Amino acid sequence: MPVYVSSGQVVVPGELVAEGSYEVHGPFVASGKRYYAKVLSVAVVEKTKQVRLIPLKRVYIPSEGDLVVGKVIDVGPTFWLVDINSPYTALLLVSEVFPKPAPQQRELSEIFRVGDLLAAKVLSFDFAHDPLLTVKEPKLGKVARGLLVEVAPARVSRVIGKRGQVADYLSETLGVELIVGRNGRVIVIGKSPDNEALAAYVVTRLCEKPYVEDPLEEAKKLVEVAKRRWSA
Amino acid sequence: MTAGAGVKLLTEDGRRLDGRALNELRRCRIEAGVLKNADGSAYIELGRNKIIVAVYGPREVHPRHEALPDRMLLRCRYSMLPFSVAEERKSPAPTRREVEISKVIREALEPAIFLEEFPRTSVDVYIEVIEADGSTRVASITAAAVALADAGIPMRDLVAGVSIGKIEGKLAVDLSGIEDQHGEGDMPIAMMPRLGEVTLMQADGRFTREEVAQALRMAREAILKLYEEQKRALKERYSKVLAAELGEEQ
Amino acid sequence: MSERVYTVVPAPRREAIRSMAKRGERVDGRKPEEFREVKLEVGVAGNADGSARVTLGHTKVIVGVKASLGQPFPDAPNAGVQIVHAELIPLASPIFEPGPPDENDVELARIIDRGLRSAPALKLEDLAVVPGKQVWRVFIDIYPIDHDGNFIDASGLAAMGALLSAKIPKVTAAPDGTIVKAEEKVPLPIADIPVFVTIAKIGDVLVVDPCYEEELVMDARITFALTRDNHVCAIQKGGRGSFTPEEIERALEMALNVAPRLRSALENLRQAGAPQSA
Repeated sequence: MPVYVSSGQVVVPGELVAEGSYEVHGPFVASGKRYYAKVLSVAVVEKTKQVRLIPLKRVYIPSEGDLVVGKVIDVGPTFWLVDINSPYTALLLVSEVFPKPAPQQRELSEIFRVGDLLAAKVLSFDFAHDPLLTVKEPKLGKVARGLLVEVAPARVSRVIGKRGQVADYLSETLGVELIVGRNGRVIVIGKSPDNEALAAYVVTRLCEKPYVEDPLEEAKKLVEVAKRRWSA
Repeated sequence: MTAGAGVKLLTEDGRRLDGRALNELRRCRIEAGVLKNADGSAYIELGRNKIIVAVYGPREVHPRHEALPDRMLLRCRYSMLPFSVAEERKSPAPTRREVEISKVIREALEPAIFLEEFPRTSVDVYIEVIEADGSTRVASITAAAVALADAGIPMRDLVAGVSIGKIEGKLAVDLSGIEDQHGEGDMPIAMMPRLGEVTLMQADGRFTREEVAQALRMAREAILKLYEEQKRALKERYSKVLAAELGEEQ
Repeated sequence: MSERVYTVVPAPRREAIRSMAKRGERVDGRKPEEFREVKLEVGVAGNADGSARVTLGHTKVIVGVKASLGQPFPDAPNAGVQIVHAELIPLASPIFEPGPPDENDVELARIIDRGLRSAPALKLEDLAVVPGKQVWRVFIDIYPIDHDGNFIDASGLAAMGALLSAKIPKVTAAPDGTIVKAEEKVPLPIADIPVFVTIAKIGDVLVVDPCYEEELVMDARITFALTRDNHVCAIQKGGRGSFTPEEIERALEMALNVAPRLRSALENLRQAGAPQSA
């Protein structure tokens, strides 16, 4: 019942990863008790007969309730087309904006224009229908300022951490506000450009590695590195 | 009339014009992740062949009416740069040959891809031949599979291809341009290397039943070698990235 | 429509780039008058008579030159023919689509053609083998393969690199008009080495050699092709915005300042006897 990979090893699609009683997590294909990688991944072998396959590249697939950072790419008669860094372009209907614009002020580009960044929530998505967004909740809507940082969507949850620990830690230590979109777009809003640049550096570095065991520890290390760099 | 009349492709001791044995591949070198814009990319040198492949996707299908409700749309475009050929400059407009090759390459890659994973999206494979010296379609497939994997496309296996030719009555692996031009037959074959299944097979020229069987065996053997190079290219590309990330922090 | 996903710059980013420009800063840390580092390789396509690949930031352009004997143009019976073709292939960027050449492909080819022709780069009169009947037709094919802005300047360098490294068969015409091709190969007859320099205008600020993101937010651009003795041999203004006459003079001065450095890579190639790697 062997395992054919070691931790940190890159595996290609179709490559045999493990056999027998091993438990494989991540994208794989099974043939009987043989497990093959399905996408280009890094393997992490865990002690308890477990192998984790971490994809090196993965597109963002929207999921109901996700907070995303969208970019308005077109304005229609009753909706905005919003790019959410996904193969599926989202719609924001005028009925999902609060306060609801009166019918006579339906010049929608006066509300959101092409190029505007929005913090939005995914209302619904299935593969047959385009994702629908809403900005009707508090803290959602147009992002007026801040620095946009783009990271791998599959790794962005690190910036939030367990129960938001990492985001809270970064906000506090660095004095910035963070909007973390599940689609790999993070907005850093700080008091000064320097302040924002430092936070952007930490966010970028935090999402570079395919696998991080303890995101909070990693974030703390990176803040130290960043502070040394910026003071030098 | 034999097509080979006049040009001698084998020496007295059975070597080919470039010194290779009949079952010998030309030097093959693949590089993964060579372009910044593309979601996945690869560059292959097989002998003097130089081919670059870019993969974009999965992305929104454009034009939208081409989208498929239950799976992603795979599109391939094989094209030869006007200066890639030994003869006079080729017109840049797509030829019938390029249109057909684009189709068979797509159908060689499709069996390896989990198309149902991302409905209503497309994956576009763009292949440009920079320098051609025989067997470009199969070399393109070998590189395209690496570019698809590099783009993170879910696959059951890679795909690699080789041409088996007939020169002076003998089967030979990986035809060069001159062998293709003066040989008696060409049989391009692509397989999913691990699964051993054939995803492309064409032929021109005359082959006996035994020769077809032998060609498949020779192809399989060569494809397994190409598969090793495909894996090396992908692993090396990302092992380097991983090492750099781990190293910098210390 | 789908290319808007790539070409719409987020509003805060657009503002950031424009305000950086005002402070004399650029997205990639360059100074306004700074050209990116250029890498020039020749002999990258062995079936071409001459070829070059230029890397400029992440921009990569391949140019191949092929020459063949054929008829001259009726309006220039005693001169060789220069034909420039460019194709913005979808391999290079998600915003390019397959299909016949559009206005952007044609504009790129024509700018390069004009710069090479008016410098002139090739001594076309030396490419007539049997005047009025048989001349060399030189095809210059431009193929960008990765897009990080400023295709014009990169294409110009690659085109000149390909021309300088090209070798064509030595031919002689017998008195009866038949043409004999020798085994011996000779370089193309080169008269001048023009270089192309593009300046972008972002707000009120002029920057040399715009990268892709700068091209997306710029108001306009202007390209100068410059000869060895600092003559302007082609100009092209592009983009929706405008320039004041003073800005154009300033842009030209910036272009003249960087041209010698760009040309030196090409001059080296020429002095090295234009070796073609196998």
